[in-house]
Amino acid sequence: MKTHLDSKTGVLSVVLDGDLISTTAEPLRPAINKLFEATSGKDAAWKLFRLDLSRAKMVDSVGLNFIVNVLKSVQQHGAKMQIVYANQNVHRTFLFTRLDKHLELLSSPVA
Amino acid sequence: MMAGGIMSGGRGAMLMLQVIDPISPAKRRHVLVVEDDQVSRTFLRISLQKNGCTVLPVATVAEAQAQLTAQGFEHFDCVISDYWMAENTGLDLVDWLKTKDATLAVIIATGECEKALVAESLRRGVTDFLEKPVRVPKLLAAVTKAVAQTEQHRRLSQSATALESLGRTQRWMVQSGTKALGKLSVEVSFQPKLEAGGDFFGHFQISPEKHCCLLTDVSGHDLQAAYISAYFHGIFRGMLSRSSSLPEIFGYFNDFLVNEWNQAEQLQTKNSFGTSLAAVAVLIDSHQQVANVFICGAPVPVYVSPDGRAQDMSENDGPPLGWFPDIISRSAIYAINGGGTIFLWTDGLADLAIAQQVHPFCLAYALQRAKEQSVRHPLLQEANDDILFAAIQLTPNTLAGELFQPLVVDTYRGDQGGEIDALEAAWRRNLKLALPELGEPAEHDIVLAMREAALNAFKHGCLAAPEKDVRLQINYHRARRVLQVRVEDPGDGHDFDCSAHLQNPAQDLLAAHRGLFFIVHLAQHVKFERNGATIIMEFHL
Repeated sequence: MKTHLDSKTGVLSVVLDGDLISTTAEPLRPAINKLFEATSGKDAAWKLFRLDLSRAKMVDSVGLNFIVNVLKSVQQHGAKMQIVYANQNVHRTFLFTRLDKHLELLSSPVA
Repeated sequence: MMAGGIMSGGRGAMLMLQVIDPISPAKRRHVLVVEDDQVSRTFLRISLQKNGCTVLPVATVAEAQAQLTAQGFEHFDCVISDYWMAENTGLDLVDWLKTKDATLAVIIATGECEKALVAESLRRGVTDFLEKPVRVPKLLAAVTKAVAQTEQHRRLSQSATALESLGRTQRWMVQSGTKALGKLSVEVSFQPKLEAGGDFFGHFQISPEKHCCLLTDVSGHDLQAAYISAYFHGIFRGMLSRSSSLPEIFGYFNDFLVNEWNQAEQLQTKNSFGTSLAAVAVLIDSHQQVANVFICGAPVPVYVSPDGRAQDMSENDGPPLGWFPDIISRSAIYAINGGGTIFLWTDGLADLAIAQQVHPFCLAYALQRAKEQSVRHPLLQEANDDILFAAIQLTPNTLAGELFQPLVVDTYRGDQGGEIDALEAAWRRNLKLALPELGEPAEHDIVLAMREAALNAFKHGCLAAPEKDVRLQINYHRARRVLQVRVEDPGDGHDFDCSAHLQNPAQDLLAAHRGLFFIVHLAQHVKFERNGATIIMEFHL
């Protein structure tokens, strides 16, 4: 997982290495919580959280639960959330679970 | 022994004949000598005759061809031919012989033993070279070597012919393809490793309502294995027709193997292991709707009900016949109400499946599909044994593709949820092998739904307890092009109103029960049994 805070644009980005599934989502929770805590001060304000899943080919229900929990934290922070995807199967997952109604989906050319 | 002598290159000669080691009349060899120079021809004839050979000397390739054709190729034990002759070379005769009788060895005599000529001659099948002037010891050594080669090639040829004949007989007995068993049918797929081997399948009608299928596999895949397997089928047929029971027949053959065959074999070959025969017999009573299974060392048959549920027909397989004085068989009587399919196979299929890390059913399906298209599946190159797979259709007037055929039947411990990525990789391997045309989106949806159902079973159905099991099955219905996945756990099912929950869209941002939501959206049809402890998903391909 790679993170980057662009204080000029107010975008906090997290890039995942691969699939967001039951075996990868669990270890991410504390890391994301820690990141949010570290970036919640006045000096590190961000208004958009971008989760880059362009390397993922699958997101399962545990992965989706992870996203829902992150989304709730982002909303509590008063910010918005974007998800970057490259794989069409991942895109379809967000559509049939209607998560696209709650956050912005961005198509990435990176496979 | 007479003194040595030489033959010149056909340009004048001094004959000094020599007898090295006279050949007895019983071992008299027939040699055809092709030499256009009369002096050389005479030298060769007399030298060989003095050393016990019967020689037919001719002056041209055309004469040689005429004599070989007239007297028969098998009449001669070797040919000695000059290289340079007026109209042809010795290699012309070699080329012609290869098309007529490739077993007959040819020696080429030439005064110009150039390396290129030697290499070209050897490439075209010449046995040996004699450099002119020919010395008698070298002549006799070359003839001895050529005759031995002819004998060896003829023995191999006869063995190959016998093996091909035996293989044809075995394939006829096994009868790959679909056959009627009264109202039922059996589909057999046989992929021998060699020309003939120890895997056999037979079916026997006892009465209009009773049929028996027998599958056998003898240790080794050689002629002896084929012989033993066929012998048992003959005994089985005979004893069955005289109303012997399956334990009596198996017991009789076990006695034969233990007390006669293996003792004699150990005396003759010092083979301390002896011969063993794995066998499974299925006695089907269509009227009573039961199948009686009797197993000794063969893979446990699987019964698949018409709705696709697979069940092992015994807990284990026991040892094969030939190991112990008393047979330790596994038998079971199975209800076959409503039809279904019984699958039998030999361990060659299981061994190749293990090596390829796929399920035997999936491999059998892939091999069968390739065979239907008259293609030899590339995985057969990796097989170390014969492969025999049989599907007995119990549903009247139904063919294999008209019922669910299992591709994967697996049982996982309840605490294997953490291994879900490895399980998913295995499902993908099997799907790619059986249904290579599936495509990425369909594979993604199937595997993701399977993952959700399996995780649900591990977590909620088994509570991650190692003593509990999750059973997962992938079936394919060829006629309907439907892939069915069944996931069963020993739990009590849902503790909530599943249907009401699923009507509630995911936009509530609930962080629970989302797996079920995935399942019903990814599969085209989902059925919950036992309050959700069994999930049956269908995907239309």
